[in-house]
Amino acid sequence: MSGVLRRLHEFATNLTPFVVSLVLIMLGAIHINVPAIGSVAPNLGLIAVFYWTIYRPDLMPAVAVLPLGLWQDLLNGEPVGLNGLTLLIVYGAIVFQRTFFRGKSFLVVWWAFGVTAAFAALVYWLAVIGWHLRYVDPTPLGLQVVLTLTVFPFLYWLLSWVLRSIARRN
Amino acid sequence: MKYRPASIVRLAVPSGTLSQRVVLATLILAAFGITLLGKAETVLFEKLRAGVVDFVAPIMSVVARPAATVADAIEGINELGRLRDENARLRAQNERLLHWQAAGLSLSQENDRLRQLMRFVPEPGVDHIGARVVGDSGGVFVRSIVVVAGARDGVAKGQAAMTGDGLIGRVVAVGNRSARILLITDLNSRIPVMFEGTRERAILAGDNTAMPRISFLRHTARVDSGDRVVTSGHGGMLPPGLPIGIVSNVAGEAIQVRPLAELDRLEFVRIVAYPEVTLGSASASAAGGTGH
Repeated sequence: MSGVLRRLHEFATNLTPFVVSLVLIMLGAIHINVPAIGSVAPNLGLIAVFYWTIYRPDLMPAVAVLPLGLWQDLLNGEPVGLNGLTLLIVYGAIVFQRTFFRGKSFLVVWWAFGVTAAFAALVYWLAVIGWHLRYVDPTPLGLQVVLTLTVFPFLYWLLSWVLRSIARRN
Repeated sequence: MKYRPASIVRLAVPSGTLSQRVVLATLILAAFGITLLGKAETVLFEKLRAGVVDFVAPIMSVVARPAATVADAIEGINELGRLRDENARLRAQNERLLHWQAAGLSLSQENDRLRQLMRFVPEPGVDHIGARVVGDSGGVFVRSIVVVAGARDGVAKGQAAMTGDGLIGRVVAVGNRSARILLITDLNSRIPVMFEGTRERAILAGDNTAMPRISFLRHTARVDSGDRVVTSGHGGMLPPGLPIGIVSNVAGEAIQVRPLAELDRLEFVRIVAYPEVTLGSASASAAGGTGH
């Protein structure tokens, strides 16, 4: 492969985690008519940021996290900036602990994600209260955390597959 | 796992932990700044939001279709089991509705005759735009939907969105081919309403629960559960008399309204294009009228 092509290929490969995260956030905003779940959808963006921050922090820098949060806000019709702020704070909490996760079993990572999701929910809830300057019922947020934890194993598997294919291509 | 560090941009890999922390702190401050800006400068963000949704709506529409088909198939299987009962219920309802249709027609004719007698100024015509729902708010504290119909189809900010059952919300942002509808249950939704029987006016305020609340109601007003709530038409954008819901719970000051439309199962909505009534437009058309 010529130099330019190889560089292009490398660039596309390195961009994969960011693009995958963008797509997952968009999928989270799609209307699926499941009455039992109602209007609460899992926070797929959080899973994506969590995963890449642990396994490929070089491809999920803080400068990529902010646009992902803003993308989520714009798509979901939420106050712009709140998800960006939340994701960055959560990112900060994970990125300095990420060596802890290396080589740990899936169950440990799942448990750690549970703690992270609960922390993210708390930060977001406080941010929303601050934005509206009034109390909002956190129940839907609790439901979202449970739902996000439920879909986590499936997405972990999917993202691991993407991670392996990036490693091969690199 | 072994990997070779790479970066999507050169700036992305800071040389050390300290600079990493500085970058992170700067970005958190930037996010905070954007949040504050979003609270103050709503027009810019509204445009940005409409642009983003406009861009992804066609993709979302394509992806949402198979998902909707699967959901429909499951619903269809469920319904097969209830077919007999449902049929009997519908026959009974049909008979009842035919009776009401006859009553409605005769009342409508009588109403027309009385209006002619009174020389009543007719209301502006109402146009309907059908639209498919493609996006549901993934946000936990936002109750809104995205539909594939925008400015090019005649959708404008402030218009009412309905299903066959009743009002579901108002258009809050319009792109060229998509629009976002804020549902009546959202924390920020405020709809001028009245009680159909007593004509008492109030505001229907969403609080993110399934049942919005009545506020700004006169203290002396009498409200019972079962009363119907309809749009009052005040504010100009919503036509009066659109059904919204039924009072389900009255506990002192707190009055909750159960929406007639099933807000968690929206597939198609109707947007009511009601010409906005303002003094400006009235005087302009009057001036145009005298010119002849």
